[in-house]
Amino acid sequence: METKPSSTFPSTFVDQLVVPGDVILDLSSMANQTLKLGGGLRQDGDSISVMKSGTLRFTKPNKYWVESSHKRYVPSVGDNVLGVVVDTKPDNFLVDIKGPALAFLPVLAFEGGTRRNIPKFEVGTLLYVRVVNANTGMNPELSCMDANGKAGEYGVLKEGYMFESSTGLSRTLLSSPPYPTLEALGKKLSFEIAVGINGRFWVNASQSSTVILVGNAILKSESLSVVQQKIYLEKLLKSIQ
Amino acid sequence: MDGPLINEDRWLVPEAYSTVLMAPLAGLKVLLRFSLITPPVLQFSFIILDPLLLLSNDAFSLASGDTKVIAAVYGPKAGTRKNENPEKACIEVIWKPKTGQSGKSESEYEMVLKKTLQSICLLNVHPNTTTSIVIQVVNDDGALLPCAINAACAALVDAGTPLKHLAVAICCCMAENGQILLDPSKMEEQKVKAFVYLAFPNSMVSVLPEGGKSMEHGILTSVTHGVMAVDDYFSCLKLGRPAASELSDFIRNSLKSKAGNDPSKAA
Repeated sequence: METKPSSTFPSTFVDQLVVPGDVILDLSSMANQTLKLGGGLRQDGDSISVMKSGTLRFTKPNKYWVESSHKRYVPSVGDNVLGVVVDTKPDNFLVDIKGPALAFLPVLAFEGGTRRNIPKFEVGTLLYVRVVNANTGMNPELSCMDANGKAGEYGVLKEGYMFESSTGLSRTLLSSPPYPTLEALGKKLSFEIAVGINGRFWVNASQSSTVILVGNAILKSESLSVVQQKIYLEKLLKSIQ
Repeated sequence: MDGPLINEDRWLVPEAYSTVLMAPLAGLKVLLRFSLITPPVLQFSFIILDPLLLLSNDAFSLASGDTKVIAAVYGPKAGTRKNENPEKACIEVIWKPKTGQSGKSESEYEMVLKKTLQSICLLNVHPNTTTSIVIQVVNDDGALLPCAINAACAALVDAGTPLKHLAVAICCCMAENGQILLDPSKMEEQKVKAFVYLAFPNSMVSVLPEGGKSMEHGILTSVTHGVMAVDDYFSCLKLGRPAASELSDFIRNSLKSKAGNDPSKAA
């Protein structure tokens, strides 16, 4: 099955499902242009081909990427993720961020961190961290400070409960306009939520029943359309009154 | 399914599941016998389960299936096994038979599957990691290895492992009267004098005018049992290719409909 190219730029497959092996761009027929390739695409000689199945996306002027949702996360620089401490070493903490390798969190990567006031994290501590370095083949590096060196929202997340979901759900939770489920839940209940782009989110509220309700509602809403979500939430919120 | 979804850490939940059923429908077996001239027709049923649906137990809805296999993908996890090149990702296959312990034939299946999957995976993207694939045979009614290859490939796609292209596998057998049958059942496999499992790369859509064609002429894996003439082998290849490209269109449509049902992927 082949399609004749009607225009080579932008690719004819934008916003369509692509499967590994599909060739979406032919570089030899394009003028001198720089392209930015995101996740799921690779350069194979003179053509750009697809590595992961998903929807091909394009933004002007020259960015292509494949959007897909998985349970596993591929670390990339600048992402805010939820990590769980797995081990402590003299120089850094080993943190699991659902990627192919454990990530390192340097012991000094905290605001006002010196050798004298190294935080003590037990195994199993939940942290909200930022990915600083994510080269292939190396363990990713994390930091509990933002780019200016301030702590911001990063650090330990106390109490509450962490739920595991897929990366696609995390992206929709963080999108704007806000996710309908979050909006509707926020109008009736009061809770705190932290979303990591690696497929994890943490919910905290004054009562554990609220935490359970919010967590399950979000997990269930992933497979529902917008209209179905509204109906489901109406029923849910009525039943708790 | 209503009610809470329980995510217990002590259960090892794989990244992706896939169940593939190859169903040579009993009533249509007569139609599968074509002469060498006309292309044969392949009928099969296919289900892809995504991991989130699997937790809710409502994904199995197939009426008739014969050969059935479940493929589960775990990983990529840190660290390679011993004696494996740490500069590349490592693929590990575990084959679990329906009954009995794993023996020689299971090791053979594991080896064939491992080589096939290694040739379709991009091993340089995540060096020093191991991706484990567990194949559980639920029912064996002929053409077991192609079913497992298709299931493992679908599971890898669902798990987001970087792949060069998909692997599409079929089974061809030579009956006594010289006819070639596709997708035999277990009884037919035991009666024929030879059969061959073939795995091809999938047919792809491409913006290259002619470049895409060359991929379709490739072959990934060929496993033969029994004795057949060289000409017969080449006719099996010739007949198997259009069947494989039909199967790969089917896979593409299944992925499309699965992506369409998932609102998080909607535009």
